[in-house]
Formats: sequence, structure tokens, C-alpha cells
Amino acid sequence: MNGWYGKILRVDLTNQTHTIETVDPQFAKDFIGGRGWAIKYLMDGMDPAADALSPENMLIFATGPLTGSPAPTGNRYMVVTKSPLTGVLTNSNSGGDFPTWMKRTGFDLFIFEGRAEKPVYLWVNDDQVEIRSAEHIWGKQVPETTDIMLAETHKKAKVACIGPAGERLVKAAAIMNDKDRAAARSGVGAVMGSKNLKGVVAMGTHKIGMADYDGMQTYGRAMSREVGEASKTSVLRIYGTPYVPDVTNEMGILPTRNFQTGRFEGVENINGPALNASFLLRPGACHRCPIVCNRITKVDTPGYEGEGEGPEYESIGALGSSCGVDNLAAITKANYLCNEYGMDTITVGMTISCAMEMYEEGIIPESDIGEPLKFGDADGMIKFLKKMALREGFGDKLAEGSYALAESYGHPEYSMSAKKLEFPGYDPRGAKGMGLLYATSNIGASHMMGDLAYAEVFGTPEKIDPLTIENKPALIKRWEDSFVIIDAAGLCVFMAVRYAFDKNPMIMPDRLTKLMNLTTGADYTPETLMQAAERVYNLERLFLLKAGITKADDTLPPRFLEEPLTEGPAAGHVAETEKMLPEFYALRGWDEHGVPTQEKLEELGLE
Amino acid sequence: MKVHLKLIATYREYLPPENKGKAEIEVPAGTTAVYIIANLGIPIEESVVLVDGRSPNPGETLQEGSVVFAFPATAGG
Ligand code: SF4
Repeated sequence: MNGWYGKILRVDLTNQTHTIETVDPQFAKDFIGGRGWAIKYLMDGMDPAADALSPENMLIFATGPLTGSPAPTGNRYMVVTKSPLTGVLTNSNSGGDFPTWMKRTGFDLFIFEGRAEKPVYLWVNDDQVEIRSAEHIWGKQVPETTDIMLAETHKKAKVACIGPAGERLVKAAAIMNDKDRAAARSGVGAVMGSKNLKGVVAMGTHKIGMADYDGMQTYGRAMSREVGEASKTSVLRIYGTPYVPDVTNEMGILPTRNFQTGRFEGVENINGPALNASFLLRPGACHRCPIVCNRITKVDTPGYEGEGEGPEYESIGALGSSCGVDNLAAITKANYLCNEYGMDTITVGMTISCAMEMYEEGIIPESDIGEPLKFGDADGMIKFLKKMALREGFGDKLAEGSYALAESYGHPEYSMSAKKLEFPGYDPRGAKGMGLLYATSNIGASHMMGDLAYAEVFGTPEKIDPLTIENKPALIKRWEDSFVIIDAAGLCVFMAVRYAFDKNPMIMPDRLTKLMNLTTGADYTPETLMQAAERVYNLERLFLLKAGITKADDTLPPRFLEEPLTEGPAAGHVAETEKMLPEFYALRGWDEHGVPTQEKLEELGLE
Repeated sequence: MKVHLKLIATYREYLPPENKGKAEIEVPAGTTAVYIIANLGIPIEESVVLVDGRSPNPGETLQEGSVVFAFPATAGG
């Protein structure tokens, strides 16, 4: 096979054995790769209703056919598993170096099953697969864990691992790779912790086959040059995603004080120019990325000293404006700590801001927290982030995520989450397509499952009105399916949406189809690739339905549906998700309960 | 009449550094946001231009106190 190796490494942690499986070429094509293959293995291999932290859950690391190819940003992998935070599926994406090194081992997927009796890590060097003791590393933070694993294996290898948060089954726990990159969302680190799997070390000498080697070298490299040329003076290179708070604040959709409002008075202290002036050392990049959007930073401010990567926009929104914090040194420090303990900045920030609101409303008594915890308390935010990572005191409640926290006090409505996954940084009252995405996405409130904010907010491929619901169901369907392709292929969405799709808001994968064909030789057309994506999307939906999700779960917190925004251009608006849902279901070929019809399943070959 | 101009991120460079992307400018009635932005030499087709936080309709003219906001169109955040 080309692009795909068609080889899967299955590791049975309970019995400390591994097997190597091959993949049928037709299956490879029909499910694209990465995220697409993974859901099929999950569906066939486990009961979707199983407890996410039990040995029955499967944890899958999935690269795509373009991971490690000359396509620009071909450096991603996906962690696919059942989420302990949400009780549904998760697809958690990361870049950096590890995914490319994983691909060089000669396997497309690593599948972990069962539970090791004692802490272990996996070392894969081409076909040599070793399960090693990690008892001496258990308890250590991500940077130290990474260094020890590299010292014990090979200094040129790459590591994905968990920190103390994952070990303690904190539901915000991430799987960190290359120290600072995160498959962050939905508590994937807790699944790894529940399996007593501390880390995965990978390297190898395998190269993927190319259906048209010369063609892909020429086309992939020309595309990389084009992206690189356009990125030299681009906002993502110069300011990174921290340019965004100014934009969302202007549009009145910057998460502020647990989404009570969409405008933050301290925005100028937490924006891109503020970060560049104070803490930016240089931009950084995932493996061979010509865009270079990462932020390598250093903080000297007393009390917040540190060095590392971040913060990204999402971290600034969750740990900053949502907590009412405009101290950028504190936000950056909090980001470093999340990386070191191994946690998702969004769930951490949104859970703490949920606690802050409930404390201010008198719902969480001070005696439970041990001290006041108010919006704007930068040091409180940092203190409780650490307690959350270690499950100390009130941190034990925070560690369950915002929904479980709010529900335990009888007020789940204070959790800004959909399907129990905390919201990212776009208030759906002022970006209505995003509201439909959050309500219907197969992992809960994630922007990464079909980020229509590119069009509603950022003008890519062109600016569309964020305040209407007209045509949004069709757009969301198209964008969700498009993001399946990007994820399954192994590319970064920042590059792919702008450069590998056509320039119409109803995006179609024109150049992406060419990249896929040159690499795999699978003869996709944009339409057949879209259909494969729809197949994957529907199989994911079936997983959710079997996990117990109903139509009632395709919704948003009452705040977004009932409390209009009061400032900015979206003042007076609520998220009109309910109005869009019937049209969305119909376009998807689902019945009025949100269940795929038999006809749809037959059309997709899923019956 | 007076309108407010806010240019963010890389577009701050179209104003003197001490402005930090902000200016209050005097314009005749009937002026459009796109006219002001284009006049600064900013490539309109690569930009998102907002008036009071939303995209103006084609030909929509500014009002006293309007906030004109512009940034380079991009993907990602
Ligand atoms: S655009 Fe940014 S996140 Fe995406 S691959 Fe490049 S450096 Fe990584």
C-alpha cells in the first residue's frame, strides 16, 4: 500500500503482549486513515457503553496517510478513545514531532487495550516493540518524564506521555508530546493513566510508499513553498493565535467571566501585541510546518517565572478572560503548569471559571473551597489549577470537570459545556453556526470538529454573517465532514482549510484530493472523499448513540439559549440551535430523533 | 464627523507606532469603511473589515462615532 502502511500495532497491556495486524486496502480507502480508521476499530472492538476508565476502553493513536508526507503540515496524529469527561467519543489532535516519528515506526495506528498491573511505557523502534517498567517515572511531570524516557531509549526518539494529572485520572488530563504539544481534550490523559501507561516512545526508519513519488515531491513541496511564502509576514507567524482576543472582543464573543459577557475590559493586556512585547522569545513550529504559529515564550515576572510554549488563544480565553484574569504573566505561567502536569487549558480554565461564578453566586460555600475564589483572582486560578492536577482538597471536585462540579451542587447550568465538554473561545450567541457545531459535534463543544469560525469570524475562505442561521446547517455539515478528511489525512486545519480546499464557504477538498491521490493512489474524487468522511462521521454518531446519547443531548447550556448577550454587535442575540437542528438532521439523513436512517447507513455501506 | 479606527495585529503598522493601531479620524458624511481602509493602503480583498463589530452591507456609510475595525483574513484561532 502507499501512504498507508496497512499495519497496526495492537498492545495488550493486561498480558504485556503485542500483535501486528494488516489492513484491507478497500477498508483503508473507505475510512481514509487516522480518525476514520480508529472509529471503526473502536466500534468493532469495544462496547460504547463501557466505563471509559475501565480496561475495556480502547486507546488509539492514529496517524493518517499524509502524516510524514511532503504535504505541508503533514505532522499530526489523533488520539481516539471513549472520554471519561464526557462519556462519549473523543478525537483529540496534536502536532509537533511525535506523530511523524510514530509514523516512521512503520505502523499507522497503535491500539492499546486492557490495563497494565504496574506503570509501564512502550518503546517502539521500527519492529522492535518493548513494554518497559515506568515505576521509577510514575509521579513525574511531563518534561522530566520525557527526558528520562529519551535517556533510557534513544536521544533521537520522540515521546508522548502523561503527567501527574493523567496518573490521578483528572478528567482534564492531556496526552503531551514533545513536552509542550497536547492531545488535550476530553481527558484522554486519564484514559492513559487508567491503563497504567505512562508514555510512548517512538522512532524508526520506515518511509511511506508514494503512489506517485515524483509527483508528490513536486506538488507537496511547491505547496509548502507557497504556504511558507504567504506565511512570512502573516499574522499567525508574527502574533500566533493570540491575535484573536482583539477580534472576538470586537465581535462581542470573547468568553468573559464564564461566558457571562463577550467583551473583556482587560483585553489589551492579553492580546498578541502584549505577548510579543513582554514574553515572546520566537515563533516555533510543528515538524516542517511552513506556517510557524507556535509561541516560544519566557516569563521573568516575579512569582510567575518560567519558559516554554504558549499561550495560544484558547488558553488565553479560558485561563484569562473567562476567569476575569488580565495578568498575562499569570496566564502564561498557568499554561506552562498545564503542560507540566499534563492538562487541557480549556477544561481547566472553564472549570475554574465555573467555580468562580458559583462561588460569587453563593452556591459553592467558601468552606468547601477553603478560601474566596473570585473572578480576576490570578493567583487563585494558578493555585486551584495545581490542586486540580493533584486532586488536593477542593481540587478533587475541580478534577471532575465543570459539568460534574456544577451538577454536584445541583446547578449543572453553570457548566459552559456541551455533552459535558467545555466550550472553546467563541460565544455561540454571536457565531450561530458555531452554536450548531457545539451542539452536534461527535465529541461535544469543540471548535476542532468543523471550525466555521474561520468563515464567521476570520474571513476564510470568505466572511459570512455570524448572526444569521440561514444555510448554517448545510455549512456545518460540510465543515464537519471536511474536518474529518483533514484529521484522517493527518494535516493541520490551519493550513488545510486555507490552502487545500476551494475558496467557497461550502468548501470542497480540491487540492487535498490531489495530495491524497498522489500519496495513496486511491483515485478519490472530492465527492468520494466527502462521502468517505460522511461514512466516518456517521459511524462516530452510531458510537454516541450506543453510548446512550439522545437528541436531548444535542443542545447547549441554557445561558446560550435563553440569556441574550448584552453588549456588542450580538447584543440581544441567543444561540438559535434548536431552530437549526431539524434541518441539520434532515441534511444528514437522520430521523427526527437524530438517528441515521437505514437508507443513509446503506448508502454509506454501514448497515 | 468623527469615527474611530482600530487596526489590530499586523495592521497596526499602517498607523504610527505610538498609535498602537488606534486613531480618531475626521471624515465627510457618506464615507464607507472600505474607503478608509483602502486609502491606508490595506489590501481589502485580504482583509476583514467590521463596523461596530459587524460586516457592513455593500455601500453602507459610516455614522458619527462608528468604530471601523480591520485585520488580515486568516484561518485559525
Ligand atoms: S500551523 Fe501551527 S499548529 Fe498547525 S502545524 Fe503549523 S505550527 Fe503546528
